[in-house]
Amino acid sequence: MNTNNAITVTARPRFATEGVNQLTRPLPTSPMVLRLFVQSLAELSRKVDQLATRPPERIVVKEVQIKEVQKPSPAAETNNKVNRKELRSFFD
Amino acid sequence: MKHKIVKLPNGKLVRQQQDDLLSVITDIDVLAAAAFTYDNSIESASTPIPMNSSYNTGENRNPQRLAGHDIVIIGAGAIGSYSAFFLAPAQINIHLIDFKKVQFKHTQAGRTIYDGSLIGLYKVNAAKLKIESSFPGTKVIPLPYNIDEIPDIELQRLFSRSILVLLAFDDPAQLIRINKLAYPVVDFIQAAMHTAGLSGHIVISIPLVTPCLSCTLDIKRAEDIQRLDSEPANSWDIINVAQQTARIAIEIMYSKVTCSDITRWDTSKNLIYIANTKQQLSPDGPGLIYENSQRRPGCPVCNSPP
Repeated sequence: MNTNNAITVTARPRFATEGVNQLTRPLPTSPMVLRLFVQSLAELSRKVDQLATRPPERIVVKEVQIKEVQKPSPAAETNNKVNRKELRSFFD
Repeated sequence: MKHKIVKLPNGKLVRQQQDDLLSVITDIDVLAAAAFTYDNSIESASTPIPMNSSYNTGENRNPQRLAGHDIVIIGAGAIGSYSAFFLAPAQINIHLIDFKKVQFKHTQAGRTIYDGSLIGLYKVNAAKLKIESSFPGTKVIPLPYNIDEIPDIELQRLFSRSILVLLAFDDPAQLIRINKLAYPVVDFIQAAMHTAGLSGHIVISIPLVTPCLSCTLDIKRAEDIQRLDSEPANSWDIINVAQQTARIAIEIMYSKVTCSDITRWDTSKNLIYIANTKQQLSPDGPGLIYENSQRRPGCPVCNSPP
């Protein structure tokens, strides 16, 4: 019995006598898929072993001078001409 | 009594009648002139004059619609006092807040509306005397308190029952505070003069519509503001900024009271820069520059998450 409903595409029958047209994709239990799966596991295992047994590396931290990001003020993002900073010196 | 026939600005001829009683009780020329009434019975034109007052101010902008409404003006210095004076013909109730007294320097060269007879009075009381005598019907409610002594809750109550708040003071910390308090509850405008009075600005703040004052002026903290004390300036430049402020204020108030659109300027622009001289921004001479502003990301006043 096919329990893999998630990958079953069904078509609505046009006539009452017409059976449901079921299209099924290959199940993961097919020999070819299993073979590929085992090969992938072996490959992954080999890579993990390589990483575990590698010689220790000296990590060099390169100092990068972080420049202060000059973010324009929202007022300056528009086409405005008035310099808002000049408006901050005032009297009443 | 001889009746003089006068021609109104709209071309209509009317008979001018003087109210003798008012002429007697008012010895001020301006008030006596305001006491004239017109007899509309001999109008030559077919359209009637809609108002019985001395001058037809136009059907769309009847300033009497504003009568009795409350506004708050914080600061009764040069800009504050002149703005109050120019708003007064609307017969509104002006709640004026300022704790300082009139000094000799304030009365010199027309720097403020105060004259020599008012030296020593609280500015708010002096303004009341000056304005109420010039514009009967207008009420000035003097509040001679330092703004930082008035609790937040009291200020917000005052703001919420007013149709407009005008900020005409230069205390940086209090400007930041008032911006925070007033932005959610009431429309407000801030007016100020720049160095030497060569220019000025008006910031319009409408809740949820415009960015707040801090975002418009790109101010993050009180230290960003520099106040100019006893700055030399031409009185006519101050008066120009105050007049523009009053016109903007009247338009906002009129729009709120009559539920009509503001048509005098593009309301998407909430900063008005006033050039009093020929300068880079206004190369041909004095003029107005209207600009829009953006809310700063994360502004706790106008851009806070709901």
